[in-house]
Amino acid sequence: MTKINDDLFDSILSRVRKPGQYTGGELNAVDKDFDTVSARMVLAFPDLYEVGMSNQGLKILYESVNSRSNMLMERVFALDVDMEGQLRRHGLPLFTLESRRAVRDFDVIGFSLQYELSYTNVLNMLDLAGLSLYSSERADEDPLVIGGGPCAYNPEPLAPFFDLFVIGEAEESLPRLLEELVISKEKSLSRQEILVTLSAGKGIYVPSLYRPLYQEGKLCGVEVLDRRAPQSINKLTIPDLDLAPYPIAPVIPYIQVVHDRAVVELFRGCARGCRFCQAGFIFRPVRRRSRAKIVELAEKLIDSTGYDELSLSSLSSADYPHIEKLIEELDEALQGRQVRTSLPSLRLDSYSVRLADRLHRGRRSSLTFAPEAATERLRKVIKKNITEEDIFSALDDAIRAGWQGFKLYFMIGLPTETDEDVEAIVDLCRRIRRRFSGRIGKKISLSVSVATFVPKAHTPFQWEPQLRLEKTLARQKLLRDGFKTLPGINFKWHEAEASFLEALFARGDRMVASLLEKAWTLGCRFDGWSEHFSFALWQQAFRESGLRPEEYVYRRFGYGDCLPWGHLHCGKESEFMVRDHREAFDKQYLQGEEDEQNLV
Amino acid sequence: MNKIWFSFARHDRLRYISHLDMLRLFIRAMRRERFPVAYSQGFNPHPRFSLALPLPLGVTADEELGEISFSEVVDAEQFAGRLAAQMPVGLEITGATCVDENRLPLPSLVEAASYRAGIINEGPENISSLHLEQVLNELLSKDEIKILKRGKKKKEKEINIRSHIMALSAADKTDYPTVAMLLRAGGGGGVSPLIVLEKIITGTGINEPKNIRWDLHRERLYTSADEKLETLSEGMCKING
Repeated sequence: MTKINDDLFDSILSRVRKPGQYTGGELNAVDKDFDTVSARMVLAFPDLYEVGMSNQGLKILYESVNSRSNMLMERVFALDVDMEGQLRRHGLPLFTLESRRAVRDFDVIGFSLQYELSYTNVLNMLDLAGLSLYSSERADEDPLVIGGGPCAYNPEPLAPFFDLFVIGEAEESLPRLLEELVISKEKSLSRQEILVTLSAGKGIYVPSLYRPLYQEGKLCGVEVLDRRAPQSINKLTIPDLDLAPYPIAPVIPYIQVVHDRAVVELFRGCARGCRFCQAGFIFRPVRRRSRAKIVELAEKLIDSTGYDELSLSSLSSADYPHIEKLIEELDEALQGRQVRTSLPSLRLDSYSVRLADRLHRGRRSSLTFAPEAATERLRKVIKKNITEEDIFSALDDAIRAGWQGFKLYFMIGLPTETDEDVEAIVDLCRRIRRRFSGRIGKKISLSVSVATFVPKAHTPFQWEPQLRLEKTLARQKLLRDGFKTLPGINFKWHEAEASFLEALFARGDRMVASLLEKAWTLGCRFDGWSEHFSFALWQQAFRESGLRPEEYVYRRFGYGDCLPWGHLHCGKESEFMVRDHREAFDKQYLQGEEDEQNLV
Repeated sequence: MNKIWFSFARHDRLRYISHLDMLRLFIRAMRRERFPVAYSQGFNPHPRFSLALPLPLGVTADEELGEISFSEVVDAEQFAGRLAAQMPVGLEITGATCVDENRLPLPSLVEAASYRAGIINEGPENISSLHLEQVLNELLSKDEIKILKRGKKKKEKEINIRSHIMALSAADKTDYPTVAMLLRAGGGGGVSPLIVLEKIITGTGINEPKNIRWDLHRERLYTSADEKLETLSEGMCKING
């Protein structure tokens, strides 16, 4: 058993930034006896505390395991680089926040995989924990390393490092998985036997039991290495949100985190079907929480946390049926408690603006909308069905109601996009600026953020390549030049190279794993943070590992091609995906000769 | 409306949070207890709550004060008990008293603060208590102690902190050399204890200041009464008496 002594810990904390992120001991954090519980798990989040503690999934899993008296879940987050330096200098292992015990003392380490650009942090955390990176090199007594979350829907680039992935929603099945693990351990099964046993469970993918097959360097199938393992894996879905475990007393951070507020999830999934949106597909079908349950959870949360903000989360909050009635009931239940309610993910239409008005009596700070594309044609291709009229009437209403700030999110590199579509972003903003003449940049702030499209697994755009890096850079330049003529608008764009890497890992296969290890060895960490991201290091990793990222990022998959995530099923029939993909490229939405060739 | 002053101590790992973290922690605790906290008017109402003097990150304290206004009458003793029950390990509520709501805001009363700073030397160089005393006396004998302060528009400005240092002495403590300081603080001007400690370390001439860390502790907050300093908690007791 390893624990860090207090003096050394103080000495270390006095030398790092934001030491409060490493101390633990927050309100509602668990304090269970490690030795008397039968299963012990660490929930590992491969990004900083301030990011991880804003993640609702983490709070849900913490509740789902810790509500069982015979199980324990503690937390660990990625260490900032200064803290990593301290731990390595003192030869200390990665430790949990709750008991400050070495991560490798636990039975299971479960990584929350939210974002491809945190993969180097996963490897770094395994290394800091004192574990071999590769599943095949870990011993029977080492903890099981498991992963889940959106990125687990294409886990192949991480496959050699993980013992097991949980595909889908784990809040109900995770305790069962831990129970099975305990039983297997009591039978003194070997690690390999335990994994084979667990692989029979729904949503469980044990990558070492599957071997990808290649023909002329291209993936052509997957061989199942043990007869007891299923041919394909179906995602886990919880049937009823009202019955699912929900954290009504979540851990309250001492230090400020990105989203520091009470959260009630209105519904899971989204019926809109925007073709680029992975969350919209992997969380299907749509399941609603009842109004009564939402009000009950909200009251309990405010009581137990003392938060003054309640966020009603979902992928498209205004789609909740009778949402106005819900807001009324919440108002009544929380009357006099000085709680502001917020609705993230609003659509850009007048109805949503009315809802926002209703919630923000008094303070009218800023509204965020995501039109994603600036031409109606391209919005139809991606199935973001809002019209220009919607946009202008929503902005009109909002400005009349006194809103003073707007954030607009767009994407470039979308399938069939041309330079004209990109210039249309600038043009749309120019017209918005003209419409509210003289006020933008003065009384009203407008910020425009442009991301790069990353094709994701299990979406209708999964077959699409990413726009070539040099083209993305050229289109970003178009935007920069365009926005130079629009003073007062705050224009931001995502680093194209980072989106390139995101695409590589989002659609990569198992061959990509060695590149990942190489990049980590070269010192890549926190690739999602612009102050740490170094594309030069990654390029060195490409050269040294011999992997050609372009072959993954720019590859257009055919319907008949074997996809790296093809053996994982997420509910939607593949015929649906094909049909929906075809529909996107319906002739009526196309323009120019380039797009004709883009058809699969 | 009624207004309560309360005192608290901060120890252990709670030292690693910032002033703003402390404000949030107290407000959430009071909201959990459903105290009728008074809010300011306007578009952006915020709770009428303040701490007498921000406590720097990393510093422990014996006797800090906070001030809270309520929209209904709240009994001070009950308040202290219920708030204490909401405190994490490392924060201790040590007293509370009702004050006249027209009394000046607590932060405006603070004029000085006393500190005790243990020098924990993790390097091989030795700092003896005798040497330390010399360094302190030298500092005190100066008319000017200048530091660079970053002002508005990122311009660095040289300022003299000598007048903010009211007393400095070496205190005996068995584990490590310790400095006792009385420094001006609050709205009338003051200096951070960390800046003074940096000056002291420079004064010792040691080569590797990186090896030094502080066990820094704030002992008392002071206000002036009849041209003399008295601790704020004495002021609090007088109200009680």
